[in-house]
Amino acid sequence: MSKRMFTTAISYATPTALGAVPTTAQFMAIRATLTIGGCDILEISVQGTSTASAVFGGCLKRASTTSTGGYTALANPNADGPADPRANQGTTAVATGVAGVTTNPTVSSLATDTAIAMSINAFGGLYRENFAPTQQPSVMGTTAPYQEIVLFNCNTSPWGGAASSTNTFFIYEPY
Amino acid sequence: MWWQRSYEGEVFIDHRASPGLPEHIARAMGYDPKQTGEGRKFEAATRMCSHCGSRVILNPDRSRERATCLSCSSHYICDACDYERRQPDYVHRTLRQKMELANV
Repeated sequence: MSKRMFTTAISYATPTALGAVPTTAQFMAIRATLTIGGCDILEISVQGTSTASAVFGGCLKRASTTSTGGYTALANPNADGPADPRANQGTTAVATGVAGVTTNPTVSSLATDTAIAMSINAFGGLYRENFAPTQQPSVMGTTAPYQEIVLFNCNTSPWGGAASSTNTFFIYEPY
Repeated sequence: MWWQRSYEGEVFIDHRASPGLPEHIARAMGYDPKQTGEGRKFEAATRMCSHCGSRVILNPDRSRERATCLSCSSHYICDACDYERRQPDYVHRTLRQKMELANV
């Protein structure tokens, strides 16, 4: 299948607690859309773009209640497309977005759901993680919590998120 | 050619042009505040434990040996699973076998 890049530039004005629903256009999410199918997230990069010192409490967490109605179409400067222009396979297996059409996802507060912490100081800070083989966070199927995963600014301890801005990209591979 | 580092990921946190993470948040996240403070860069390999699936950020300053499991083709296992496998009633099961038992 083909690797794709999901890129956003977001001002996270309202940090969100675990177990809550992030504000529209203040999260980035990937959800599986088929019973059999999904994607692996291979790499995440977060570049802080705040103009003053502020902690971005980056948290990648599964959604305990998935978004409904699909996502509204991405608009500039957010984007999602294949890394290789010749490749277009697997795109129907997942959807990416920053806003649910009807409702946004609820990020899980369960200790049994995957959470990856990527807090940085968004005033010039940078976070990049390249996941090891077999270590990639995945989404698959059509059942919560494995259907959807969300990156948002978390203000639950220890993430410590405050109002901040970042540019972020995922490299992911649908299958 | 296969070698252990083929299975490594990488985490990179760069505050070289930033005030860095406040000390209390860095500690709460498990970082040494000296590595994520103002003007600092933290870079480390990550591995997945083949017994429990945990993602482990490898401390680059650690000098003690890390465990591997011969029954898992010498894949890395975390310290907790290394302790567990030394217990007298231990039964070896890979992560995949545990998932199959749990019907995941």
